[in-house]
Amino acid sequence: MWVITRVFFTALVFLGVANITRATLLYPNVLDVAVKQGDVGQFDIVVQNESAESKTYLIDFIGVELGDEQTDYSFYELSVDEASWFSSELESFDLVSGEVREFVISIAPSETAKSQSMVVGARIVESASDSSGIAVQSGFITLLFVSIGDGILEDSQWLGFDAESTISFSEVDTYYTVRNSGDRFVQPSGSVSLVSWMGGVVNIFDANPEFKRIAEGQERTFAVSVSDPWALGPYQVKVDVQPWADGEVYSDSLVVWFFSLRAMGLIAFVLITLAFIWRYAKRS
Amino acid sequence: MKRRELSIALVVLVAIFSCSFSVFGQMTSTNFQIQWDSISAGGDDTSSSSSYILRDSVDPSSASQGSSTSYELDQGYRAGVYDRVADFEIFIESRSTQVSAISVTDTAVTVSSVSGFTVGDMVLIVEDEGESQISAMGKITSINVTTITVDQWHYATVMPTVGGVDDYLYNMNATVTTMPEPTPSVLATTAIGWEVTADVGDGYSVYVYENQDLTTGTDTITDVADGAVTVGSREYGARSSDTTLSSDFDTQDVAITSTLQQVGSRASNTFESRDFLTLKSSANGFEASGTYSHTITIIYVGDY
Repeated sequence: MWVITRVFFTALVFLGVANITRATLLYPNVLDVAVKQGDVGQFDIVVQNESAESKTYLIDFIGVELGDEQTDYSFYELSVDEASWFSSELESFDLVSGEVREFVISIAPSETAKSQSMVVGARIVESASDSSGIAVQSGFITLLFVSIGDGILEDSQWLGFDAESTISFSEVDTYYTVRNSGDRFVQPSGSVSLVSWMGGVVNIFDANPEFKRIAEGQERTFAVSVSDPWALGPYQVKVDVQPWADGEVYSDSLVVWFFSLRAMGLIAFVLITLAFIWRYAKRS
Repeated sequence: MKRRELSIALVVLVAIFSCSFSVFGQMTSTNFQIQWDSISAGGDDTSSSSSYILRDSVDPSSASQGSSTSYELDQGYRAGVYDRVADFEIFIESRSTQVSAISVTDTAVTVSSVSGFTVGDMVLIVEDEGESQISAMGKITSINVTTITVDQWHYATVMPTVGGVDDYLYNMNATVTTMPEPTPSVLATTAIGWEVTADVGDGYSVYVYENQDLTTGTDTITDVADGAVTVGSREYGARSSDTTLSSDFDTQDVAITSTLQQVGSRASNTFESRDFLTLKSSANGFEASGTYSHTITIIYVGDY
């Protein structure tokens, strides 16, 4: 037993946790795709080898299941049919140190594919060098939010608009929540406006500047900070949001009292100056 | 006369201050808000350093929404495409760089030798190497005689305290490294770290999976099933330094499988955020001879 053990341990000594420090840069992390059955959509992914060595990268596609929370992912192997819809112009490529490669992903659902939304991961993995033992390779998954065909059920619910506080000396964090009750991805767009007591729009903020998405069955809260350096008094904070490009606009508003320190300081300065001037004039 | 002049001065003063409210306004109107400005022009449409990438564009006239009856693509000059960039770097423990760790403070460790370490290297400090080891990872910012200073220590829950016995510092710049010999009385460990810089508002996740069990083809090191790779048993598993996971890697030793399992995550934009996975292997002395191998993939997924 000990002879075997010694041989085993000798083998273990040579267990390589192979491979080297490596850095890879990828963009984008997420792509949105809308394509009809029988047609082809094409999009670019960019990879840069930031390490000091040449690398070989492999590309394939994996199904992605999104959970109720944004950090819940599970992955599955695409069916043969689904897998046939996704392809890359390159199945593998080499990059020398510092080199950047842009390659095309194609999505071509068959004529018989049903209209649906699905999330697929374009998996780009740095190939481990040939070695025995424990080899390590790193990679990225670019998420493809794919909408195939027309007639995908669209349904969303507006769950409210609120603010962290209705009195502020600088900025206020506002929140709106949307639930996706349909089968189509929801990507809210719109604005949060700051309207003065005189009715003028003082500032406009993007309601979803990072183009975040809500998968089916998910509920997501979006935070938007609103402010104006000279706001003083009551302001109406208005939100106008659409769940998708041609969707119904949700609108809501609330009142926030701003007490800008800058504005109050300036007014105090002006009043004090006026008081001095008037007092001087009186003496004269 | 003086009073009249003073009155005019007052009116002018008030007028000036009234106008100044609009001078400090942002670039907005009721109809638009500029969120992206073109900062530079010409050449490649990205500028970068080791710590950032700036995306800019030269020709605003190319803005369009490409479409056909079959597909839609938004493209062009800042046409609502939120270009998320992620930088993902892996570090692997180099057993050959092992030195004794004698003492450690907030950001510095005193070692038996600084040979093999360079500013900018990622290092792993280990207390009581083996079954109950406590580790931390940091990037070297300076080296002085026998003291190595890092930018910060990243660890799971407890910072290692070292005293030179079974306490070590390793460089994580391995090209090839080796696990120490696991014996019925000694558990073998090694670490894989990563650093992420991601311009993704709600953060990212890191997953691990394997292509096969750790096996010679005929004999396999059993995946850990009871939450702990223990000395004297034939087990293989890993634990993450990230304590906020949806998987169990944050609280116990877990088997690496062919299913992607979360081993790291953040909930916001990050710059150089780090975690590491400690691989553990134990032996009961009855393992067959041969080379045990498999491939681990560590993969990044950004939030959406």
